[in-house]
Amino acid sequence: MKKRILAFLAAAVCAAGMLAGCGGQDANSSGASSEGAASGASQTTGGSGTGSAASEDGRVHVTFWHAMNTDLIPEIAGKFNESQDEVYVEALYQGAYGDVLNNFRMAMAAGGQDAPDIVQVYEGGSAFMIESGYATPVQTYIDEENYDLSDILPLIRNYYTYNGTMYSMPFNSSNAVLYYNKDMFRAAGLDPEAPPTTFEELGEYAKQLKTDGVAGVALPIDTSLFEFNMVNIGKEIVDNGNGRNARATKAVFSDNGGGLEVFQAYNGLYLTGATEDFGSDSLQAFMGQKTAMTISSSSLVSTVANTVGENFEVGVAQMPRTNPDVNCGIPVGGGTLWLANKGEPEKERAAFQFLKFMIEPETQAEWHMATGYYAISQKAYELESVKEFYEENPLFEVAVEQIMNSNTDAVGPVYAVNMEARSKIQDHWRAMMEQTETPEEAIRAAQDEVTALIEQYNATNPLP
Amino acid sequence: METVKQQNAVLAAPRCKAGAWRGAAQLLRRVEKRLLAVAFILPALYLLWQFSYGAFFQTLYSSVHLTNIQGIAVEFCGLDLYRTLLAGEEFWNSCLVSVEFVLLTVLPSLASALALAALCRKRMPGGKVANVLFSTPVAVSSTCVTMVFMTMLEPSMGLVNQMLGLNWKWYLDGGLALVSVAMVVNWNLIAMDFIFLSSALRAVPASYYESASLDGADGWKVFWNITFPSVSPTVFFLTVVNILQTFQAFGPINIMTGGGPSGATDVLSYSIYRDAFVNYQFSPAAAKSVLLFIILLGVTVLQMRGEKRRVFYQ
Repeated sequence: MKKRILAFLAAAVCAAGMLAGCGGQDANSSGASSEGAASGASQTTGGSGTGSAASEDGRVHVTFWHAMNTDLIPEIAGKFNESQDEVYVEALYQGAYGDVLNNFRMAMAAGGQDAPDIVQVYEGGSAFMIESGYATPVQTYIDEENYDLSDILPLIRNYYTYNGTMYSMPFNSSNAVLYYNKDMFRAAGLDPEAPPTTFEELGEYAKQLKTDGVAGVALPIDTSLFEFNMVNIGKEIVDNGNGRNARATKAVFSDNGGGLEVFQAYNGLYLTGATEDFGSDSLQAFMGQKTAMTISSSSLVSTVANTVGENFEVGVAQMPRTNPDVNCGIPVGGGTLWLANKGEPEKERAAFQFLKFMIEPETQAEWHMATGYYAISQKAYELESVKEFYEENPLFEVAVEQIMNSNTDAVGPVYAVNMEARSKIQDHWRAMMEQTETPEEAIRAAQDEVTALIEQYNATNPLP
Repeated sequence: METVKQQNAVLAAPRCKAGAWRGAAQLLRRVEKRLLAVAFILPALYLLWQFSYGAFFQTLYSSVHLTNIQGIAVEFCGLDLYRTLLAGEEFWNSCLVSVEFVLLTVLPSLASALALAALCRKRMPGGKVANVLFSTPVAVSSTCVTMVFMTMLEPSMGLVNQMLGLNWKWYLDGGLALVSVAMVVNWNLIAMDFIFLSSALRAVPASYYESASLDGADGWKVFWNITFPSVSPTVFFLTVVNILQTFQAFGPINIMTGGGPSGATDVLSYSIYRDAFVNYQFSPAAAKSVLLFIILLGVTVLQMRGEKRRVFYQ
């Protein structure tokens, strides 16, 4: 009998243990995390302690999920924590942009207890964040505190304002630039200080630069570049002001002729025979001297400079234009910081304090110089440290000039299905590159597919 | 007569009472036993329900509904999603790629694992080291393996191209991408197959080999007439498991190619992942999952049938 009772107990304990294991973190683990948090500026990188609003040290604890694989983010959070004693921010790296958004989405769908208070989302995920209702617009606290946004670059401000509401706080912004190998330019008898400015010139240069085993230019098939090209010639991707005045109802990039113009420009390059497809590894190909030029994000300037080192001289130039006569500018890539809507205004308010710190000139200057993302704070460029930095590192200035020369309304599309749409456009783009579809066929088919996606989305997500 | 009966009844009464008690005690013990069994099963059942069966029914439900941006079912749509899937190119491309992928992984990995295991069966210098080397990959996470392979296969700076003097694009090239991913998956699979096959080979009685050598059978004959039939149950088991595994493998694809270029590595499991977690289209993903389930069920049934004919149990 005793044995049986023991067995019963054992089974019960087993069951209880498993249930607790599934149930997730309870009081214990959040206690542990606030203990770790109280131990000073050192940042924890693991665990997912949720913490409660009021903790032992009297500070409001805020968690921040980000996608930047660098120690700089925890460092900045540490500085913020030392700068005041009201709010404590714990920065947790959650993997690439897509992973961060997925983890956040799961956490919110499960009730939000395990969701962070601040989440970094790439520009393409903005529409999802707005339409899902998972975020509280930062505008709420901008209004509440009467916070002055005039220091933020006007284009960035406009880019992240939809229908008069700023939903998220800009933090890391970049754009696309042309990377080129100055040594190869010299060897081909080209002027290394006069890089190509149009797609036509890009083709000419590529032909001269192409040698055995080295491509003239490697062009990644990346729809965010397509979006940049479209904004650059002042054409929209979707209707209703690129989805910014009202929800988009259809794709228009073929009907307005812009898409064809851009695709023809790319096709012209493919037809020179001087391009090579390295897909998402284009920048690696450039660093490995397998191509003389490539187009990539400005946020990688420091990576390129560090990797290439003394191997060859790197040049960075503004992104070539598809139409020599039109230049509306190159818009914004990168990410912004969102306040999670977990029904805890107290935490949101605390998190907003950190967002303000993230866009201060000093923070932005430090971030700019360490990565290649440009500073979104205008005052950052007046700092002595930044001016001195440019003398040593002129490559970092190209993206800044590019954004400064852009029209302040050179904003890209906002629509919820844009991730899927991007891959549809990419598929047809690739078909054009492989010459299985003409530019006309490719752009037409892409528009139809994207419109179908938008219609399906709108049908299942009726506006309130 | 009457009195006898009565007497018997009187005599029986206490016995009956005792019997009832005993019966009750027995019942209690039986109930207790049942309860005990239930108590032991419950945790496992709870987990199974939570992670397998519950999810399965949820998937069935999602596959006949349209979902909104939060993944909540908003509208019943019957079998529309299945119809769209079966009518579109994408699904059939995924099926084709999945089959190619299985052929590129299961056959080579089983063949090489069997060859390695057969070699390691013999005692020879360094045999133990080889055993360890061939079986350790099973303990390495496929994500790490993928990252290492990607670095080695990197087209412009990778080790493989530089050492072999090649200019191949590997995972970036539509024709080579699936092979590249299959190489990574094979690396893990061979190790697992190797462990199973070596232990199966060890169980083959040495007397078989002795009599074979007395009869003067050569290496190949020994392999085909003794070794292979003896391990055929294991080979069968591994075939089933490997097919199921590769049909569901998506990690390396997610890291290396993202289903591309142009769907060249878009196996079913990855396209399900992409629908649900990249595009947030949960219902098509659910419908695809149900179709994948049916396919795998069919594959398993076919294999079970084939097993009866081909596999030799001692």
